[in-house]
Amino acid sequence: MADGIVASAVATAIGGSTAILLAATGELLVEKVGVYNIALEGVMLVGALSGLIADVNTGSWVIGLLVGGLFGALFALCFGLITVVLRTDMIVVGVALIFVALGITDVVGSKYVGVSVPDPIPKLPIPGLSSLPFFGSAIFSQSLITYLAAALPFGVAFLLSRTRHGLNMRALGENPHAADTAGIPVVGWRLFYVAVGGAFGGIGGAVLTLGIIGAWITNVTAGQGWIAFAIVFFSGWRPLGVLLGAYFFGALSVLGTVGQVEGWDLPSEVFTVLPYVGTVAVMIIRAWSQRRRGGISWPAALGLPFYRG
Amino acid sequence: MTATDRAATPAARTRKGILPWRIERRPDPDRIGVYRLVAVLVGLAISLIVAPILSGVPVGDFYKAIWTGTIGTALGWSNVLTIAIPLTLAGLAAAIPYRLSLWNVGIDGQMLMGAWAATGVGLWLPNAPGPLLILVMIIAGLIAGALWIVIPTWARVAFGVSEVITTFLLNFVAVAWLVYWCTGPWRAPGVAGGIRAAQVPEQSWLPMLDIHGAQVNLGIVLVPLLPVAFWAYSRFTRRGYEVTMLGANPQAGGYAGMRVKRHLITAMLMGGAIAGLAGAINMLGTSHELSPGLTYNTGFNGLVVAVLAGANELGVLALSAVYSLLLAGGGSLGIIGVSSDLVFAIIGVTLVFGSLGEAYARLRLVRTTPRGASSPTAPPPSITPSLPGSTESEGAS
Repeated sequence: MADGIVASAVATAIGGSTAILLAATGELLVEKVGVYNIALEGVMLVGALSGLIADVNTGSWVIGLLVGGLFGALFALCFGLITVVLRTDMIVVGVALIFVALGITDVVGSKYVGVSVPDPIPKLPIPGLSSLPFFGSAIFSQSLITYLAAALPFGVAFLLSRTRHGLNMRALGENPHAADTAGIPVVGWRLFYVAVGGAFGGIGGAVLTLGIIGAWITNVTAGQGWIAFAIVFFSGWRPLGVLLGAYFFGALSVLGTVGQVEGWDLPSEVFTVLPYVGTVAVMIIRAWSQRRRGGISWPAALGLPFYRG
Repeated sequence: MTATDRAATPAARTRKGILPWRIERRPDPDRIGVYRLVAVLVGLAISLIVAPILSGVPVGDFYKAIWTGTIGTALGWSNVLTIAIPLTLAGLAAAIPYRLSLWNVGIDGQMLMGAWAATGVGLWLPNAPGPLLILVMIIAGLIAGALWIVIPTWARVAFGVSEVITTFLLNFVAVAWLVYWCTGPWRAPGVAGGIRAAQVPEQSWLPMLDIHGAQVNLGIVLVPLLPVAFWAYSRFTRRGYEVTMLGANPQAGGYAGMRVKRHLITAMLMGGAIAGLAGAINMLGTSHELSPGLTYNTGFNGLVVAVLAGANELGVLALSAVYSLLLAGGGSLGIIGVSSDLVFAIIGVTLVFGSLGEAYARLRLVRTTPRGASSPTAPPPSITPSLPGSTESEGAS
């Protein structure tokens, strides 16, 4: 067994799932307040391209990530204004905005195909930990944003279950009428968290172009936004479930590389489909086990428009 | 998911927000479809004005390319009609589940699987007589398309797993499946031309028709035929009536003793089968060979058509014609160096506008602080009837 290969696969799995982890954590916040942003794929595309353009023009990956987050938030805010304020169908508008993002990023991004990123996100080995045996270097030689992304779900878990504001957030998703009666601005907070989720999705997209892939390609996300969306479902709307789900996806995506090196006799397409099939399978298994336990875990008002009175 | 559409409280509320208005439902929303269509046309007009500016080409060239690519030339007409075939079928494949508030976001995958099955039959029976071969290939396509939606349907009906995500993710699986067959067992002899399978036998190619100089394959007869047939079915048969009722009010349908699950399953499988048909016809009529890029987002465009048509079959027919023009025009932009994916942005914008038009029909702005509030009388009570089982109470279950 080639331990070097496995270690590098673990490193790739963790680093490669950063974009999805960020986007899914943001989406969790959005869904906790009762909205689901199906346009996440489009948000990531917008963030990916704007982040790359910012990096190319300023030569700074930090600015690239910030700009990616900003444009992701603005794009998500479009979704929020149309769905949350005007109470339109989230699926229709989400699909529409994915189209818009796909078309616009393709037209604008055609100038940036093949442009190399001047300042890609650097790796930041943690002294001491990264020289631990076995997986030390794999786990602790990631980029700063990967560590932050891994810490983020813990922060979100604290916010949601240990703070007054988190309680209010959950009320918005579970029973917006009660929240409204208690004086919490339902539409305002929903819009705010749609924008926050969009910022995380946009940063996730920028991580793709500035770090994981390192270039702009048309439709660079290739369904990662949808997978992030699905991860929130199978996490059971729990932050730590999101963390596990994202790493599970990352592990599935690197299995192909491991298989090639280890000489498994399988067509490479088997590994291509693993993340997608795995996501579908886990969603079904989770729903099945929840059905058996009789518990419904999603926010009760998820996806429903809020009308006062 | 429980419906939280509460019964309206008749008491008027005078609570102040940040803004001096609030949005509430119109008590009697009317002509929603008309508002939606007008908004779509406005969105289309705006997009067509903004698009040449965004893409940075001379405005004259932009419109000239669209004109020659659509109704300006016989070749343009051929393109429009050829695009209309899979688009109309994809529109139906989305509309039939959408009538029951089910989302078929996997039409592209089902189309690919339909084309795959048809190709398999064609390569397996290279010497069968043409008409028989075409028939068997099309049936294979129907079955494969329906099979590709079985798992999302089962997961939705049995466990309530959102079919939006499952149908969508299976698109990627279908693409990988086709890459495997096109690069492996069915690889085209010779290497040029990307990933594609060997051509199907020549006698199975759909014959070409000549309509006033425009060349289009025989599949065009399905374009008026299938929507009208499905429309007549849902208008004039008992089962069709049940589906219409169920779509309007799922709970009442259940109370009336309809077998709701069975209708849901039928609608999903029917959608998959029609998508499979679209894929098979598209392969038999145009490329005559399987490739993973065969559909080019036709499934998503069909979804847009179905949504904007309000799942009405005749509306699908009409809107498919409009969007075929748009897609053919967008495809011709490549000649002047504009990415033809620009057309997806335009389609997305029209869909957003459609939603805005619908919102305009359903909602109204109400002042929360009456102007010059001199009299202490409260604003008139807003009695908004709760709409049980309206699409608004359908969540992501």
